[in-house]
Amino acid sequence: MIGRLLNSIRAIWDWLSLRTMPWRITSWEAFLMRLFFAWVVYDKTFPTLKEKFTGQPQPNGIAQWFDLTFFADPQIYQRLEMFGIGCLVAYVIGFLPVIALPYLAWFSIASKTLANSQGGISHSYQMVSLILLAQAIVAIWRFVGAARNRRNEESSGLWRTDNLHDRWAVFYSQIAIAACYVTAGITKLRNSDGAWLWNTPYLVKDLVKTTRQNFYAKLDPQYAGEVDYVEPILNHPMIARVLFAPGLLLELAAVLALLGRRWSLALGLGLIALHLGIKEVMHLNFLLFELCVLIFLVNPPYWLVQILTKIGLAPKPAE
Amino acid sequence: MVFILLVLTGLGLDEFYPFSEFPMYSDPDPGTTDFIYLGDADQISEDGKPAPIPMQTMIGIRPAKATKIFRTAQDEKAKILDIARDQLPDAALHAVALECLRYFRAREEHMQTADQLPSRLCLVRVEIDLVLGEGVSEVHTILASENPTGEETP
Repeated sequence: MIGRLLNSIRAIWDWLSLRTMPWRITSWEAFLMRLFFAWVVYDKTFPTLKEKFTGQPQPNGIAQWFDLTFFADPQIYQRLEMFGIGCLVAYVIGFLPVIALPYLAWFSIASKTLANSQGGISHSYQMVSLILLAQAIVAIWRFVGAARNRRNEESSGLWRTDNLHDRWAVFYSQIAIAACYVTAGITKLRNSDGAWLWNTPYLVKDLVKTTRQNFYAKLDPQYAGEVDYVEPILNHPMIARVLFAPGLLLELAAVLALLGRRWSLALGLGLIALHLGIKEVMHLNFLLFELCVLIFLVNPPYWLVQILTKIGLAPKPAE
Repeated sequence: MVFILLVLTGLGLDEFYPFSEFPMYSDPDPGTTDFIYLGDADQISEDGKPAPIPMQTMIGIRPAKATKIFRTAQDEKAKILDIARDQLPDAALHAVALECLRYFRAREEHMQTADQLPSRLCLVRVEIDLVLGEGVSEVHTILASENPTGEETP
């Protein structure tokens, strides 16, 4: 039964011509991706001491089995963070990925799980943690493979990233990103019994809510008065349906970003445009999602080099 | 296959960090929506609204997260009473609000803002409703307040 189901899924997959192998990437591309992503992880997701939580009243994820409140201890936290910074440096230069990536994935998941165990779930960091988890799995998988075949491989394969590792790490990162968006799209259809698009005019309540929540966060007066876009949507509900439809379609179509570089660029730019639109209308910030999409789907350095090469301003980069 | 596995895991596990079904704004409906904020229980304006405090700065928790914490506590209480969240009686709702107030007050220690927070906090719920073609209403209700001796009053 399960075998038949899996065969059917594979048949649909093949029929859609979705590749199951990563495309070729150059070592400098992979290095820049690691560099930018390491900056995102450090600057945006390393938990700050100000956010420390000394309890986990509503344990979520692994906090159901483990007490993660040790993150609140400044001394322990400092040691964990210092080791994390070391792992980030190792990750960027491609050294010891089998240690650096699992640690970074654990650090990201454990610290954010604690923050999400306070009774309210935030959805800002899941994508970063999932990407780290995906890359950690690739690192372990490559290490085990290299260890088994070490007689046939260069000894550095155990300790350093190689091009095949980079390709799989980037591909799995892209899969994690696409999965987040497709899941969000399916959830919208499931939770609204398929009526999400038709009911979008009612999102003006959430528009007012997020604006007011922004006000009560820091008492910023720009969020205290009239809320933009409410009046036109109330008077012309169809505007909301037309405006929000591309967003849902983009989420559901995010899987197409796995088809190749051009698909990845197009979907990536579309998703960033979606986030910028949401930020403008609903004052909701999805900076981490945008940065992950920018790094792993849009991949500006690659396209910049392509353009410069095309107009003769840069030599063709070595593979 | 990995992609399908990730999507199914997110949908199946609901919320298990880092897996999520990303339920934000997934069910826009005609009913009311609400959120909570903290105010100064000793500074109530003529229209019944307390002077708000900047929650992110003072307790390190934004109203959106505070609302989720309040909602989770409501769900816990509703589960104990074996009723739906929106059927919680006033006394139970008040108890939940007090519990959340205590949690938010305790954050002053970690944020080192005890000297900046008002001596009496109150927890306020804002209910937002709308009628298409007419307008949006925002109703503020104080759900619970602390009293000077540390005990809370409705």
